[in-house]
Amino acid sequence: MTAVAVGAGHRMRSHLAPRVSRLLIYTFLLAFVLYVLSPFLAILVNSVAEGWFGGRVLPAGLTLRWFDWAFNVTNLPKVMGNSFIIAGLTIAISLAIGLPTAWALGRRRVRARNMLLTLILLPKTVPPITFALGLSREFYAFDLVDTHLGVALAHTTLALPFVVLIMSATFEGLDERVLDAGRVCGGNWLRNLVHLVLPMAMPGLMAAVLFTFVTSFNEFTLTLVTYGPETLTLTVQTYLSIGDGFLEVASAISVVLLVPSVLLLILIQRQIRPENILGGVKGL
Amino acid sequence: MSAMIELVDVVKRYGDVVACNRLNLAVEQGELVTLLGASGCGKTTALRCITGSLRPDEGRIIIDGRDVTDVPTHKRNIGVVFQNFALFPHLTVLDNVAYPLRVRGIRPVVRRERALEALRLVRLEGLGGRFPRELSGGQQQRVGLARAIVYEPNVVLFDEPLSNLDAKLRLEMREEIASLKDRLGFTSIYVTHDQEEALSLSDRIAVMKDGVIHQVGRPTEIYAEPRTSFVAEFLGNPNRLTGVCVDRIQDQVVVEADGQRIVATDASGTLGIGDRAVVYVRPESVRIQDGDASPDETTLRATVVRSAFLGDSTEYILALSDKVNWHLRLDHATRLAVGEEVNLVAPRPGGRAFALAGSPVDGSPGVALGER
Repeated sequence: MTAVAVGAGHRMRSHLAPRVSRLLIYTFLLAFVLYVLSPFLAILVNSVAEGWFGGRVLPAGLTLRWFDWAFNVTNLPKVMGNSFIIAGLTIAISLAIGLPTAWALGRRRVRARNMLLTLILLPKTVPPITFALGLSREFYAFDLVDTHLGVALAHTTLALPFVVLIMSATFEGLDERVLDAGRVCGGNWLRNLVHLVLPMAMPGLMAAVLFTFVTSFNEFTLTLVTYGPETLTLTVQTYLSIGDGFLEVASAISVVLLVPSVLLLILIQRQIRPENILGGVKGL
Repeated sequence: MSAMIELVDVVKRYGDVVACNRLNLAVEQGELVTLLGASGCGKTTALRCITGSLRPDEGRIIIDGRDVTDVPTHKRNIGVVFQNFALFPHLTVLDNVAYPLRVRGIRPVVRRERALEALRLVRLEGLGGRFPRELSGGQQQRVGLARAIVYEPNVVLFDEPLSNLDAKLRLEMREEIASLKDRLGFTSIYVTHDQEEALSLSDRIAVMKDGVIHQVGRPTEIYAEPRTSFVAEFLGNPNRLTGVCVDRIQDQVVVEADGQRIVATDASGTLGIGDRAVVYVRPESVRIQDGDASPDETTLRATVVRSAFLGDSTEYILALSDKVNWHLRLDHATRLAVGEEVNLVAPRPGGRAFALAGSPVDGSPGVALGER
């Protein structure tokens, strides 16, 4: 008797409960996705909409005028070029400083290692505007305002922690005995670096470069205090267009601004997996 | 014959610890010499000095007549097989094996051919396109072996190459290494803690402890005539009898413990009457008495304490006294019952005697020996 009752209850739960919980999960997921994606949707629509204001659900018409404006009135190609140049410089500087630092932190016994890491992370932990304020003072002193190098240097303070953290973990994961094997096989340090360290660290390196690129490309606060007419970036131009009252143009620029981030997201989804970053040999 | 690898007074210290203490060793052309010892005995440190990963604090390392003490690793022209395989994870098996040739600037066509030949030698043909992570442990170590021999170095070093493999594979790889060595004729130093591996593979064995080489010799020599008590105890699983030297006939001594006597060779030649001594007796050199003992044998009384069936044989633990347990393997023709009193017959000499300094006279370590 009791056994039957228990069995029935069990069957009921197994039929009904999953359905209910699945429904709940999907509802919440959908709500979350809408919540996250709706701003992007608004920008996308806004960038091609005609007369989309007031209480309208759908725009009155579609147009590419705002992109045309963005390209011609705000000189989008040059602004985009600035963004790319600055991002490229940021990558170069961040790697130049970050790779040796990461090697030292990851491969050698460094005293006060944690203190150093904290120090490197500092610009990321303080309010950006506070950091920007101090930075602008220095930049005026060194005449770095409105130069690509200046903006890139500012961005480097934010990108460097990524590079150091990702690469020190990557370098730490390299097996010293494999590098030993490289030397035993007859390779000097340069061959070891080119043939072994570089390919083995490549997933981490790619991640560091991509994160650095996006960090620089999307950076706003520090750019605001270091840019000038010659170094306008996409983020700042978006901001200026909003200030000028051209919401649609600002949206059009934002869409362009979004492209690398979306590409990166897809890349991360496909390429960067933990097992690729560590790149070890099975069984050990 | 000339020495291919030579260590001359090699010293390596880590802070206060002396990992290698005046190592001297000459390995002849085509010879395989094992550095055998427990972990921490300095054998790996010695090998790393030879590969150039470590620089000895004192002494010289000579390979093929060239002093390489200050030559960087990549110019030493040696092959090394690593314990953890140390394959290049991002390269295919073929590229792994071809790497030493690539570094030496050999043309792609030629190096492909030679890498394939090396893979054939370790019986991995057809797996060249795989990545190391797609191979089993045994296959990975074969790749390591192929990579070490592909550029036909005169010297191939082995750093515990089998300890990451399971027992069956270990035997197979041991055969593989032995046959490769016969075919290619390279000179080797082989580091291991596994005495069976050392005994079966080596031309000579150097037994190490605490950074010092205790004895160098052929496997049979090391096994039958250990020169220090450490070597006697480390190799095989000898029975022990600790007592007092009561008589001496030429190079043989009679050692008595708890009323039992055994005749042994005085290994160091320094034992005097009244000295405390320990005798190591190989289990296979004693037998159970089934008739009268011949005049050149001695008998010892023992009681059967325990037996363990091992399949092809049975191991008996025999008590010679309260404190001394010996172990003995017998085939199934002889069956002993627990509690039975037996006479053990040992030849003259029945073992090797060493002076025992300082420690009290008892056979307690012998108990542990019975319980592997």
